[in-house]
Amino acid sequence: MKVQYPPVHAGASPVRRRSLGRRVLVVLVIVFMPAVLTVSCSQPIGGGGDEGSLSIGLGDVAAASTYGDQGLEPESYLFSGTGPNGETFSVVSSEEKTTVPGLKSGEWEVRVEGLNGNDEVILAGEGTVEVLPFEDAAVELALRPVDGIGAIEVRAAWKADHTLDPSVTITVTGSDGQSETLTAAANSGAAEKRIEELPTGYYRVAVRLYDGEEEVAGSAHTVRIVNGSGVKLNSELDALNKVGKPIEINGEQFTIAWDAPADSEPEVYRVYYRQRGEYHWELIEAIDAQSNPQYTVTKDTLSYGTYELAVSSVSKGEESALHSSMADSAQPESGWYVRWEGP
Amino acid sequence: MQCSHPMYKSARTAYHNKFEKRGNARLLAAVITALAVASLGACDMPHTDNGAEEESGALRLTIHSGDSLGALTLLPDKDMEPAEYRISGTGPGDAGFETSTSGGTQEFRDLSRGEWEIEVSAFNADEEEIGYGRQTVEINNGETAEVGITVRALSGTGSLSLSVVWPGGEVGAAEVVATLTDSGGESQSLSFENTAEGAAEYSGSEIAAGYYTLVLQLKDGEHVVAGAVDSVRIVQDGLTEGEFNFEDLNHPTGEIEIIVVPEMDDPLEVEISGAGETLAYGESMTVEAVVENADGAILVYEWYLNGAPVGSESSLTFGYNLSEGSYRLDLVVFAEDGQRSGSAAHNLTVE
Repeated sequence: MKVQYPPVHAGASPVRRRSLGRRVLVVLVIVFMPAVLTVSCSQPIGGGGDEGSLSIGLGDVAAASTYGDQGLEPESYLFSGTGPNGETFSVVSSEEKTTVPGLKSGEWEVRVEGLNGNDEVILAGEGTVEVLPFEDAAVELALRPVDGIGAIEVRAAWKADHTLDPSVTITVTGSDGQSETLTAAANSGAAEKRIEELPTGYYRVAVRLYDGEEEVAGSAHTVRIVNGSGVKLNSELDALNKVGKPIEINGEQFTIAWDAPADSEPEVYRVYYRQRGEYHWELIEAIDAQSNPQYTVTKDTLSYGTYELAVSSVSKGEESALHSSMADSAQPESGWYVRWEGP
Repeated sequence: MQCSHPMYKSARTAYHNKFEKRGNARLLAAVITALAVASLGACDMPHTDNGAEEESGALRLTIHSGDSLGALTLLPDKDMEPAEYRISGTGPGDAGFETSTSGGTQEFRDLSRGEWEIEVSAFNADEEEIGYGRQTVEINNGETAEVGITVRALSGTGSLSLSVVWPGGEVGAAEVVATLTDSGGESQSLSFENTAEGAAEYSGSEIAAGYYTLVLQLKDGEHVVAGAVDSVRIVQDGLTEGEFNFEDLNHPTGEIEIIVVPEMDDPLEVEISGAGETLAYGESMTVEAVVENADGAILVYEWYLNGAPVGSESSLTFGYNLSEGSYRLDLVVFAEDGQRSGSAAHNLTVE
């Protein structure tokens, strides 16, 4: 009825518990239920107090690269011109400038095209230059992105075990404010959607991951569509605000269990609960340390309800961070909570 | 014995294309090599006034062309090939004779002794007088005098018309410069007028008959792009025309350096200022958008929290109503015209 637990760190300050790496495993053993639920807490949750921490980093900035912008870096340039009496020239260069000798005097229409690796024109500019006999002239041509169409290929990824009923929406908003929301089918922790025929320009792309009806993660990006390009946007949704799996309990009691810390010998474990949706944890009971720590919740210690559970260890008078049933290391990894209605 | 008054008349020949004759092979007149040895013909036999036979002699007349047959190019429109020579002689007293011939030797007999003036006029097939020659000869009794008369083109003035064409548009600042130089080395400039893109013409009259050297250049500004040198013949009352078609120009070339100046509507460099890594449950956080390269553009802001829009100002206060958990704050900034955009992201935890 008990599964393996990762170690729990004892003696951590609740305020700084995120910086401590030692973990405690919580195992929930439900009386009258065949299932054994295990929680492995690698990410301690808010402790028994209601304090948290806020570090303000002025200038602590994160600039995101614009997706697709790299598509505007031509691999080659095609310089061409049409001059007097239909004279023409054409030069391909990987450099941003070129010299064309031997041009007949007169007016020349000069055009430059920037080509991508598929020889698609992504930039273009043109101008007129007067070629004088025996003289060297220089012309600067402004190169701008060409109009056209492109595509966005959005891929959202997350830990599949952290969700129960995932779905993904993708909202693409153009610079004119027009937007479209699409649904991407989720499969094994990933969802992909390719959006075609988008006119060149800038777009906002918002990716939202839902678990059931709850939004659990999301991101927003700037995407630049270049003619002929297919921009790949990867939204890595590493940190989910998990919904958790409800564990239905019909008995009068249930037991949770956890692993003892591997690197310390706590004197006491403290078992906490909180109402589903509440922030504050309430202590159920402190129990003496034991080799296979576990605790049975009865209707005498906690009334029926919907709860998240957590446990901490106390070693040398210092309490560790709480490790809850919603932590990523819990089993199942989706996190869990009990829906205890009694017999 | 020399012709004392050689005269030129003109003939027409067109010159087409660079150095290509337009087929005026009839050319000349020049080749008047008719040799006429004249003797007194019976029908033209001169007689004395009193009808008595006098002492007489004979005359054998040879007619020479006065023009060289060099490589003539621009020739007049008049046929300068003699079709007929009209010969007249005036001798002592009222003695005289007239005859005509298409050429060959002419011999005149029974001419009165004394000094005779022999004149030869050349006519072309159109009966236009094209040449003239005169010579004085002494006739002696019982002798046959031989005389050669050089028939030369008539003197006077004629006209010259030249046209020059070249590929329009290939020459930016076209100018035709030409000089006409006579055999004595005296030059005159010919003033061309540009009549169309790629065309110029010259027309002149009252040009003394004779042979000239035409030097013609097509210039592009200061640079010669084509040219030709030709002989030109002007004849009396004739029109000499020539056309030069410069198809292949020696273009003075230039060089251009083409420099690409990217105007890429570069993405906005967006940053989020004031963001912390953690936020206490129930507390708020205020963050601000920082855009370094807006370059005066009017900006539109959109804040997202876990992909959901939460604000559209340059700053955002949020967090007091957030549950515990992890959040991604995204800021997307657009230039109002939509030509530029950029974004920034920040992860934080509410604890």
